[in-house]
Amino acid sequence: MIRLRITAGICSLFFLTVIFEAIRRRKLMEKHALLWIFCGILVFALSIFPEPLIRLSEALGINYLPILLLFSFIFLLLIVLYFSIALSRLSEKNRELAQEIGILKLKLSNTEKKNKNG
Amino acid sequence: MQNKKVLIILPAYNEEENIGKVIEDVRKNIPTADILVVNDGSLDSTAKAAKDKEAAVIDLPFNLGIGAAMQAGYKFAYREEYDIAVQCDGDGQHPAYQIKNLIAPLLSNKADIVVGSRFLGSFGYRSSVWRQIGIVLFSKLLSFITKERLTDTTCGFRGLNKKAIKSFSIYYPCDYPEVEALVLAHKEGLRITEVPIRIYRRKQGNSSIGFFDSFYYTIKVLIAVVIDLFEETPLRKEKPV
Repeated sequence: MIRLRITAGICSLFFLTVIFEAIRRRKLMEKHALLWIFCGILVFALSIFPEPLIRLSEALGINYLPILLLFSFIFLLLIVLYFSIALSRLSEKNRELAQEIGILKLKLSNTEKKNKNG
Repeated sequence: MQNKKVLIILPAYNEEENIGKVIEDVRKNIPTADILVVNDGSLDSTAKAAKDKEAAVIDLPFNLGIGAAMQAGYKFAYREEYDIAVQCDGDGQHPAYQIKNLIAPLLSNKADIVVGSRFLGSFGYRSSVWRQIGIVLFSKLLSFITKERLTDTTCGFRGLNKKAIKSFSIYYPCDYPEVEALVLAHKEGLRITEVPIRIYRRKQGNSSIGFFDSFYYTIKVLIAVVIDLFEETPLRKEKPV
């Protein structure tokens, strides 16, 4: 049991580090970042203190969790994190485009006015 | 305002009722300044109301949120080489006669960013208890981070010089940007000063921060500020704006 806790703890710490690095490099939008920080801390807490999870699994009648499932879960988590990063990048570009359009529209209307008057 | 190019930026979302009056108020008080309205994808005819008053309008194609709208204004100010930019709410909360006071520290080069404070001086500003707690919390936190005495870090009535305009045009936080912008500015080495101001109660429309959002706002900004402290600094990755 204690070994499982250590393994899970290390995995979730790795996960938290990936999240933190992504945020620090501005790869994650704040909206997503908050969610991921919360998620990372929850996973870490549950890996150190798994009692609530164990109680839940007993209540559901599950008492054997194949290691494969654990790995696929971590794998999926990383994929979703990657999507979150990609989405942040797209939103950023989208924002820049919208700002440019706004500024260009202003310049265009100024030029048109000048042409009319000149 | 000895031949300094001054731009007053008014971000506006669904403010067709107020924006005309705000523009008139600014023009009356600082006739030499240019006025830029950033219409953040309003559903009403805010853009038309502003154009009717002969203000320049950045008409964003859809709603981007206050942070991105302000940044569009700063990008414009930076490219058009304004010496000073003033950010002022488009709903008439910030009476324009105070702009001269606000930008005085910029003109005398005592600061790079001037923030209006509702609490300095004897004007006495009251708000709901929860909002007040949030405001005090952030002021204490920001005073600690910047080692300056700051009393009102959530106020959106601000003046910036060229250096600050450049910084904000490169990076400006997205939602609820006021507190975070100050942390980033401090990391950038910009000098921040406060000036006492007075605000008016809103007449029409809804403020962007409702009562029930106060709690979420506080937690969100708190975490964002902590993240900002670890982030790479904005002027660091110079890219052409």
